[in-house]
Amino acid sequence: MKARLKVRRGAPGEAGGYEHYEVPFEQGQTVLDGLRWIRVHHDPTLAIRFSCINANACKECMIQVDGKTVYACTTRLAEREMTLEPLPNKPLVRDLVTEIAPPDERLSE
Amino acid sequence: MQAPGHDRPRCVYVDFVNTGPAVSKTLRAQLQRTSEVRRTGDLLVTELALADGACVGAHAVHIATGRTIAIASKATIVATGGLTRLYARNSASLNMGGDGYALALAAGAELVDMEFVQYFPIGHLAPRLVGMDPIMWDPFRYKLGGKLVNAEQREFLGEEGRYATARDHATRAILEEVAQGRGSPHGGVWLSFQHCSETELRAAFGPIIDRLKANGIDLTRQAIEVAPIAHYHMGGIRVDANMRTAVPHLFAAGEAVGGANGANRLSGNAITEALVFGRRAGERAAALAARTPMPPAVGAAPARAAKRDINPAAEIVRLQALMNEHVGPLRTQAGLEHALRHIAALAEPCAALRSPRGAFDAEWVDVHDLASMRLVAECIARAALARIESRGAHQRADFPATSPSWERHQRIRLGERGLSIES
Repeated sequence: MKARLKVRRGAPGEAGGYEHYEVPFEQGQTVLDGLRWIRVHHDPTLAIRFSCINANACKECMIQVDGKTVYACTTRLAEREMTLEPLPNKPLVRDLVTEIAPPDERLSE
Repeated sequence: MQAPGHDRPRCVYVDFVNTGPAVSKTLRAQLQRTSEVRRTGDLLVTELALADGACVGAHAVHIATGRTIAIASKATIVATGGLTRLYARNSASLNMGGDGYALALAAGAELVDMEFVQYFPIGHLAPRLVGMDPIMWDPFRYKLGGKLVNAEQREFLGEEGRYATARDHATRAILEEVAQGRGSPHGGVWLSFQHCSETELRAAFGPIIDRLKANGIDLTRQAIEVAPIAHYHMGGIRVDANMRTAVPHLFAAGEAVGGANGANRLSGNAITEALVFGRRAGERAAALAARTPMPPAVGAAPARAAKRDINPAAEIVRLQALMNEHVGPLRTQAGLEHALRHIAALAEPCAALRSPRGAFDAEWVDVHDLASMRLVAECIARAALARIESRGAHQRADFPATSPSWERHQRIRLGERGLSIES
């Protein structure tokens, strides 16, 4: 089975745009699995924030899939095109990474 | 609860499958009430700063912006956790690549017992489960027993109903079933709770039963597959009873420390270790800081440029597979030497660590992690090769007996000519 992932890339001040990837998957695999597959097989510069990988404990991998806010680690891949974008209501850092830490845990200028 | 290997009931847990998160939540809440403590996220420490051999702070990269940051400090505690991300099958989070060991080694500290990596015997294997910790089956076995059976539906641990086998023995027994062709389809064994009714399951695990159903798993109708998974590291930074490392003003606490759990940690002792020794390290570091003047500002780490000809994300996956196969729960001289050749070949690409290019340079983070993982992998493999016996989590197929002459610790240092081991 293959999923087609359309991923929003770029950082503030850069042109940015969508990149398309075809990702092989087995039943049960997640969007985060797909993104990690892209980093290992095609492009290690693809930025996605995650920590616990599979336990849905860190809550860091929140992105938008097809316009809906979800955790990449618990959303299953499907045999179709899926559009992946950073959270629209948080400051963009790069690609799918946004600034999600509470203000008092951020580095002060 | 009386956990496997303990001689009396002394373990406490938080329902449902929530001990770690509950402890973290409580600690975080206490921290937030302490206005003197400032927490800063998104910093990756790349080097400890030294002056006259003492630790005076750290260099870090702020990942979100790519800026390098220098932190001056009167006393520093390494509390970076373990190294189980080095293994393909692990229960680790992304930050468990052993970077704290690499930082401490480079600063002049000693590591101890690095060959003792604990595999958790019944890590989840199949069917694919998301949104759950792979070590979740331990609490299930405490409460409900469960039947651990091979492909012939035979219970092979000889537990007679009670969950009592320590992790090192259970791991070896499962691997032996698989090696003898009595494993499950994905290369583990079967864990079944089909003898429990829906009512019993719900009474014991409430909402977790629904989360399993959302994953397509009905425990009243099916067994699941489990297999050993890298979970904890008994070795680590060598400290004294005051949690001081060999480097003045540098302390360590938690899983980053080696030596508190011998060759095989008993279940229930990791969070307790973090709490007891974390408190002690904090108290001793605070007392030292109170009588130490603030060191002058730490100089900036030199900017570095290097060309890249590897995909570090792919190299990490290769290293994890290699460690799992040759430096995992069952080791041989040939396998360890093979692993060490691969690890040595990674030295050059890892040395070429450039400075990050702007905001969230994911590739730079991977190269940094790979460099730490490579150094720490070498420590494990070298110590495992030198220990020609089997003991606890360190099992040599070519030296299966436990040798009284090896009742000793191996200590590792990093010098001009690389790693050196003493025992």
